[in-house]
Formats: sequence, C-alpha cells, structure tokens
Amino acid sequence: MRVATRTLHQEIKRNIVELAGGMNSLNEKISTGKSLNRPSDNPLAVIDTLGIKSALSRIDQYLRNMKLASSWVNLSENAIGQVQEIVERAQEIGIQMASDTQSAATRAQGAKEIGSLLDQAIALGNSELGGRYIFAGYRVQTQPFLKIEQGGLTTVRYEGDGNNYDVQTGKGEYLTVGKNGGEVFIGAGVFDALGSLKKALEDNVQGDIQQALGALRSAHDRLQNQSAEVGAKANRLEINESILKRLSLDMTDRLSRLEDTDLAEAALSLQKSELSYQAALMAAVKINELSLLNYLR
Amino acid sequence: MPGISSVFNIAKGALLTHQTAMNVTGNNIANVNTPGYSRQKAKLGSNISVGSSTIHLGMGVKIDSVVQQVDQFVNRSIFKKLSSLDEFTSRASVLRHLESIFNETLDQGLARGMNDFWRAWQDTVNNPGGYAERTALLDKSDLLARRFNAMSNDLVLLRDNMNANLSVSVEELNLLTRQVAELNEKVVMAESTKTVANDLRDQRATLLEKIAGLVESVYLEDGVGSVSVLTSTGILLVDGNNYTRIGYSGGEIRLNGGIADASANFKSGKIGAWLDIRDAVVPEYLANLDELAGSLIFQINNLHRQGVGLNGETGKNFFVPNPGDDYSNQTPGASFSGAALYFALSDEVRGNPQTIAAGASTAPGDNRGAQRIASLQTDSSISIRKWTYRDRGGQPEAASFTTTFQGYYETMVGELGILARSANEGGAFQQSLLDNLSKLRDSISGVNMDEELAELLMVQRAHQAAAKLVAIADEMLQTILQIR
Repeated sequence: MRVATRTLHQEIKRNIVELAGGMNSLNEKISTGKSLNRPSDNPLAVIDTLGIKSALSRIDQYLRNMKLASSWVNLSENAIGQVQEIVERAQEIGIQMASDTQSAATRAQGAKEIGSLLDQAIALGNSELGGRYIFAGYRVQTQPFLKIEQGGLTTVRYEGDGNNYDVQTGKGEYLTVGKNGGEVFIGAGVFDALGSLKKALEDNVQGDIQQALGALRSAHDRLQNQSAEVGAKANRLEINESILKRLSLDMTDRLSRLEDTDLAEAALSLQKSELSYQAALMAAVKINELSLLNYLR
Repeated sequence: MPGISSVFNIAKGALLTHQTAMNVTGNNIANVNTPGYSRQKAKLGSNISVGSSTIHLGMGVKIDSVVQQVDQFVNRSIFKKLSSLDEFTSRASVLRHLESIFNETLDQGLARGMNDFWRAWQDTVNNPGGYAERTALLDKSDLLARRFNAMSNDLVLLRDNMNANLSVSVEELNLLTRQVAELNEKVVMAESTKTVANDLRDQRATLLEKIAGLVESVYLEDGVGSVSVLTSTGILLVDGNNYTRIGYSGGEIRLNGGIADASANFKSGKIGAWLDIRDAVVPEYLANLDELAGSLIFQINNLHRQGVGLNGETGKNFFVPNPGDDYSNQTPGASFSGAALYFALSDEVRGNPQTIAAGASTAPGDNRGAQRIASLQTDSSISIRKWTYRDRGGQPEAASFTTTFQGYYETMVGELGILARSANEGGAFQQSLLDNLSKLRDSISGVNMDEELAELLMVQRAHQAAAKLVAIADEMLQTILQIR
C-alpha cells in the first residue's frame, strides 16, 4: 500500500493524542484515588456505589439510633432495678414491723423510713435523659410522677401518657425502648403499695401491714417482669449493633473495591503507558529523519 | 519532410512538457499538507507521427491530461461516516457536561442530599421535641431543595446553550452551501473546455465533507460537473449555483425565509446532535428530575399534613406544594413540571421549627409523624412516572415505576452513565472506521514526499536532456550554416 507523507504524520499525531488521553485518565484515577470519576466510567458500578452509600448512611443512622436506645434502655433498666431494691427494703421493714413486739412508736419510725423510700422511688420514676423524662410517655417535658396526699394516704399521680418511645433499629424495624411510667410503675402498683404500708404503719394496724406486704410482693413480681423485658431489649440492641457494624464493614469494603483505585495496578499501567508514549515520540523523530532529501546533494 | 527544425520542435515540446510536469509535481509537493488535496499526475503522450508512405517519424511529447488520483467510492464512504462521527462527538461532549451535573462520585450530589435529609428526619424521630434537631432538619431540607433547584437550573442552561451552538452551526452551513454553489459555477465554467478542474473539485469535496459533518446529507453530480446537495430527508441545500438560505430564530430552523420549522429535517451531524440534546436528551432528564422532586414534595406533604407540630399546628405543608395537589383526596397534581425548580420549604415551616409535624399530638415526645415520614426513605411502593423521549418532536411516553426515591434516582444516574458511555464508544468506533478509510484514501490520493522527489529528479533529467537536444540541433544548424 502506498503511504502518503500526511498519513505518516497523522498516524503519529493520533497515537500521541490517544496515549496522552490514556495517561490523563490514569493520572486522574491515581490523583483522585477513585476509579469512578463520572457515571460513564462504569455505569453499573456507579449504581452499586449509590446503593451502598445510601445503605451505609442508613446503617450509620440506625447505629446512632441504637446508641440512643441503649442509653435509654440502660437508664430504665437501672431505674427499675433500683425501685425493685426499694421494694425489697420496704418488704424487710414491713415484715419486721408486722411482728407483735413492735410498738406504735417504732412503727411510726418505720413509716418515716417507708416515706423516704417512697420519695426515692418517685425520684427514680422521674429519671431524665438529656432533659427528657424517660417514663413520661410522649410528655417528655412534664415530670411524670407527682406525690399527693389523699385522705391521709400518700400516693402518686401519673402526669405522663400511655405512649411508648420507639426507635428505628433497621429497615421497617422498630424497638420500643421506653415504656411509659404508667405501665411500668403505676401498673405494678409500686407507689400504692408503698403508700398503704406507710399509712398502715402510721395507723399502727397490724392487719393493714400484712395486706400492704401482699401488695408489695405482687409489685415486686411485676417489676421483675418489666426488668426482664428491658434486659432482653438491651441484649437485642447489643446483637443488632454488632450485626450492623459487621454489615457496615462489609459494605465499606465493597464500596472501596468498587470505587477506589488499585494504586499498584494503576501505577504499573501508568508506567506502561509512559513507555508507549516515549516510544511514539521516538518513532515520530525517526520517521522525520527519513527522507530522500537526505541523499540528494 | 522532417528536418532540423523538426528536431528543434521536438526539443521545444519536450522542454515545455517537462516544465509542465515539473509544475504538477511541484504542486503536489507544495500541497503535501493541504487537507482534501488529491495528488495529480501529468499524463504524457507522444505526438502524432508524420511521415510519408515509407517512414513514420515521431513528433515528440505532449501532455495528454493532468489527472487526479481519486477513488470516488472511498470518498463517498468517508462522506457517509462524517455525519455520524460528528453527531457522536458532539453528543459525547454535551453528555460529559450532563454527567457533571449528575456527578455522584464526588459525594456532593443529590443522593448525598437525600441521605442527609432522611437522617435529619431520623434524628427528629429520636428527639421529636428537640429544637436543635428540628432546626437541623429544616437546614438539611433547605439544602436538598437548593440542590434540586441548582440541578434544574444547570439543565435548563445546558439546553439553552444548544440554541447558541445551533445558531453558529446554521450560519456555518449557510456559508458552506454558498461556497459550494459558487464552486459549482466555477467548475462548470472551467470544465466547459473539456478539461477537469481538479483543484476546484478538491475544494468542493472538502466543503461537502464539512456539510456532512453538520447534517446528514447526500450529493449528486450532474453531466456538466455541478453537484446538488440534499439533506438525507430530501431538503435541497444546493442546486447548481443556487443555495437554500437557512435561518435560525426562536429555536426554529427556517428555510428561505419561510415560517415553518424545518428542524425535523435535520438529522445526525452536529446540527442533528444539538437538536437531539436540546429537544430530547435534556428534556428527558429535566422531566424525570421534576418527577422525583414532585413525588417527594407530594409524599412528604401528604404525611406532614396528618401530623401535629409542637405548637399544635396541623394540616400544614412541609414543602411548597405542587400545583393541583389535592391532599384531602390524597391525589397528586396532574403534572410535576418544574417541580425541581420550585422545590422549597413552605412558608409555614421556614424559620418555624415548632411547626414541623413530628408527632400526632403536641406532646414533645410524640414522634409518630416523624416516624411515618422517615420510613418513606425505604418505602419501595412509591409510584413515580418515568418519561422517555424517543424522538425529538415526538410525544414523550410516561411509564410508572414502583420503587424507592433512591432507586429512582439511581436508575437516572445509571442510564446517564450508559448513554454517555455509548456516545463515547460510538464516537471512538466511528473514528476508527473513518481513520481506516482515510488511510485508504490517502494511499490513493495522498502525496508521498519521497515519491514526488523521485519524480522531480526524473523530470529534471528529461528536461536537461531536452535542453541538450536544443544545443545539438543548434550545432547541426551551425554546421550547415558554415558550409561555404
């Protein structure tokens, strides 16, 4: 085939331009650290990365939700546990005071002690997390338990509502991390039992003391159930968290494999294309040297 | 009867012939880098011999013709490829721009904006009474709205840029067709003497190729050497020494001062590519972005209106609603056209975080409203229309997609990537085809310097010999004149 002089030069020009383009894209991959710099670089991989990034963002949020949920659950577990201890202490006092050897004076003393235990239980019911009452249902800015006197009986009025606090822990998954105080404490009859024991001691009526002890026992049992439920939740949160963390690691790894440049490979390719570029330049010079003119006088 | 004068004549003819041949070779060398130039060759022929009945004597050399080394078939193949090559490269350059608008690889795109928006709702679910969370939510929502606005603006700008490109390209086409018409006249005139106007034809072929780059077209040559140029749809651009004046105003292509829009007749080439981008590619992305924005507005508002703010406000929009949205019947407006542009926080919630309906009551711990909205993020039962513009000028078709907002957007970005990639690859493919054809053409029509130099030497030697012949004939004449 005849080769026109222009063809030779154009071929060299085109090769050099092409090689420069290739080097430029390798340079871009190396300097940005990303092998995907625009959707057309690899459309399907870009769709994948978008999906993974969105999932990672969600997982990150769920983990954040669960962190909050854990502190909420821990605090309520703690509060319920302590109220349980208070009930146990009240039971001890009640049993001691139910004995025939106690006098009106010692029982009055006992009543005082029960009164302060009741105050402590109310304070625990009014536990706050970040300025929010955790046992108030949705009325988180209202102190849920208020001490009132009713016909000589010290008891508690519930100011919260009957809603529970849910936190999203996964796609379409919600976990009730905060049960309302009405269900937890009022429902268990804690305050009423403590109040009636206090009144029975003040009144110095042995039969009433026995009755109050019975109420305390059932309050304790119910608290026990609540405590177990909360404990199970704390457990579940922990498991969920470790699952999500592992998933997040896997996804980050996948994302990196999709969009990050394999530096070793890219550097090697760059070296290779630099070599080709040099060869093309050399060929250009060599071809220019060849001419019949060199041999004409 | 031949004599010394005849030898003189032969020598003179040879000198003149080789001077002309030198001229042809010189012209080839001079045009080694001229685009579209076809190598010419002087065809030598011997003069008609004269003689008696016994002998015939040759009468020297003459130039029969100067011919171009051209393969019309290769030229036509190149001509056909040029329209699609220019279409692909123009498309690819615009799509690259479009990709930068939808660039999600930098983590600053719309997907990121949406993720942040949903996270802000989640934070509000976690602390529905929190002022900081509510303020952050308004902030992220505002950012999302602005991201939509900016993308919509960029798309409109890109579309309008096409009008500037088109106006320039149409002017270029006018100039080219006028020049072809002028050259037609010159070629016809030059060739009326039965010669071939090589250089004029080269110039005209170059112009024809430029026309093909602008719009898919065909050309036909008539008996006298004039070409007619038509678009592939049959619109006459050049006929003899007449050309069609093409006007461009108000986004319409008009022929010979007419008022009808003829843009449907311009396919492929640069002009076809600009028109496709302006009337089909960008409008499709704009329409789908609007659908995404409009659906988001409707769905969020629909749920937000059912919730209650801390200040007891209910039935309020979170975003400025789409025109025609009917929330009492929970039916969206018929069209979301322009939604990405008017996407904004509603006046009720802007600067008023207490109005955000995070609950179903005014209780500060009530997160039911926010929960419903936050779960929209992963709701895969959202129905969004997706528009397809098959041809420019044709009616776009809508198909209903049931997906998540995120999924819809991912599809958009992925499709754009595939579109840009195929334009890049198509361009590269056409380019390689064209390169091969060009090489083939140059192997026939291109000038090879060394070949011409060799030719030059050959002609020079012949010229020298002819000059020698003159000297010898002169000596012969002297000899005769010296006879006393």
